[in-house]
Amino acid sequence: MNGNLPPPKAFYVRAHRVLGPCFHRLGVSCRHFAELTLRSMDQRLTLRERIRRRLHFFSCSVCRGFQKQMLSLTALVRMSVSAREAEQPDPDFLRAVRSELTRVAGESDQNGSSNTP
Amino acid sequence: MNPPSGAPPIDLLMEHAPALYGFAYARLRDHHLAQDLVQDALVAAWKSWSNYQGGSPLLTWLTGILRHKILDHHRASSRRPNLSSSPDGDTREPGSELFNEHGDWAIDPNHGMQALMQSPAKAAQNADLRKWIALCMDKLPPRLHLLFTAREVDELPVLEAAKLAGVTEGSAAVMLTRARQALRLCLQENLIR
Repeated sequence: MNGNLPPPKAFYVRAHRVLGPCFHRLGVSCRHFAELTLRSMDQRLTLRERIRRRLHFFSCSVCRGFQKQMLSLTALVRMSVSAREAEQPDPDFLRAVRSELTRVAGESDQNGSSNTP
Repeated sequence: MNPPSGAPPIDLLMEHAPALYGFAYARLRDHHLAQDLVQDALVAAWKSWSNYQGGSPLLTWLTGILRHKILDHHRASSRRPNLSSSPDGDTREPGSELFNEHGDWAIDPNHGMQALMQSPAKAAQNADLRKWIALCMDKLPPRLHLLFTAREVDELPVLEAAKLAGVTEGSAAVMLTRARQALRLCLQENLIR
């Protein structure tokens, strides 16, 4: 699935060879950061989780990049959906809806029950 | 706007039909379903016109009715037993292959992603990115797409978005995280190609 993605840069690998296991034990690894960042987009994190996320944020430039990407992703998704909202319906569909509304209106007139409040 | 009285003019409702259709189609990605639900919503609006207070724009009121129609549709279809219980059919831990055993990145998440790391506004104007995000969004299964747009575009709380898509709040949270990981990965794979 991600076979064509390159491994991290040398500076990251060097730093994390030492830091990684410590981060992992403390629950502030890159993986934890990514999970917490994604979760924070949908729900409020606990104080402890926010602190864990912050600690990692300040110590890892690669993960700061990941966070920037996730913010841009939201903007892109919104742009993409609003572009699709401009899609125009089939004129036949609009005619069908109009005649359905006219039919419903006619029915309610015949029953003598107009829908006045 | 004057407070409504009597039946609404059909012309007034029809003015908003294209916008409602666009709203539904962008979220459901199904022309027929969008058409059916918009028609249902407009008929319901005509019948319950006396509930319209005139305080909010008409389109806002109509969109609320349309949302209810979408919700009803998914509530009905999630009761059908032949639909898979795992909503997106993916049981792997999200993003597990991206990290090593210590939780360090096993790939470079920033490689080729410079266009996304300047600012959200710049990314949104980038024609290349816009092309790829449309393609990657299309790969999301329908229910996940509806859930994700309800949350990310309409900014509904997770619980409301979950109801709309007919899933539980707990699985919605997992699905949303997975959708974001999948979209990011899909963009990266296409950008470095």
